[in-house]
Amino acid sequence: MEIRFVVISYIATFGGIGVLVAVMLRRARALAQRLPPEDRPWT
Amino acid sequence: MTASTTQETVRRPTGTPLTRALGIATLIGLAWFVAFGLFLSPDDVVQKKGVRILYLHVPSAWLAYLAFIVTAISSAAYLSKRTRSLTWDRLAGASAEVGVLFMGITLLTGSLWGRISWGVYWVWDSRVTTTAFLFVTYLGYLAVRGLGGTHHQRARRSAVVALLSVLEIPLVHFSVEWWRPLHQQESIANGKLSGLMLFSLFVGVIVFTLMYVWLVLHRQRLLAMQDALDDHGLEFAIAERREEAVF
Repeated sequence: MEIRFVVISYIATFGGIGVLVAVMLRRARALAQRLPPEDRPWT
Repeated sequence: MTASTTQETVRRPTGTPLTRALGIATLIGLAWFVAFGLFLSPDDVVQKKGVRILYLHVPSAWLAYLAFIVTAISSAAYLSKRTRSLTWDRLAGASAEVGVLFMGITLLTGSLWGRISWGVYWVWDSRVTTTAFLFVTYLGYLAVRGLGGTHHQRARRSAVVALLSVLEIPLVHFSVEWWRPLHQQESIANGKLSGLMLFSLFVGVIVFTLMYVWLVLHRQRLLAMQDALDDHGLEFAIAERREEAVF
């Protein structure tokens, strides 16, 4: 049982963060297409 | 700006050389962390393999605290007339979002660890309950940010909530000393971890810190783009109304 819970915790943690990152970058790309470059001063 | 550069910035709209370097460092650190956390560090005498969950649980809790403290400091900077800027507000919002994510990881991993060590997923002891309360409070903070109004109304309203919410952190942190719950007390300060176990935890703290910085930088740029789009949307609507009025 222990090893199963350990693996679940690692997969859930990094899988969850990975999904969030993917959603965030996808949203950023969608917004960037609708905005002029001057609204992204860091680029 | 050339066409290829423009295409590149649209493909990576929130990326800069700094975030790319941070991202690479995070991925390398992550590989180290998984190697030490899952394979190279030894089992604990009492907790056995369950101790490996703590390498996730403790850094995520610490970084969630840090995220909420950054939210409070940024909110105070926004409220101060000398430093008032929406950049502070967006930093506060981005940090709170990442903090909520890390606090969610803390609760999930704590629950799995609790099932191994205590035999149950959840106990209503002071540490677990105050942590859940902190998590719900910052979900509320994010909900407040989502209410209507101008950007400055949002910033003012959420800054006040952030400054009140951060007062819960000492309550969570010292709950193990004040109420002696089932949750264990400080393991690191009391020297209960050493050798490869302590090193694995240290790698975990480094990786979660890198991840926090990377996520906050990207997230606050995304919020800036969202705000800019809201402003343009308003400009477009006003222009349309003017055209309607003329005809």
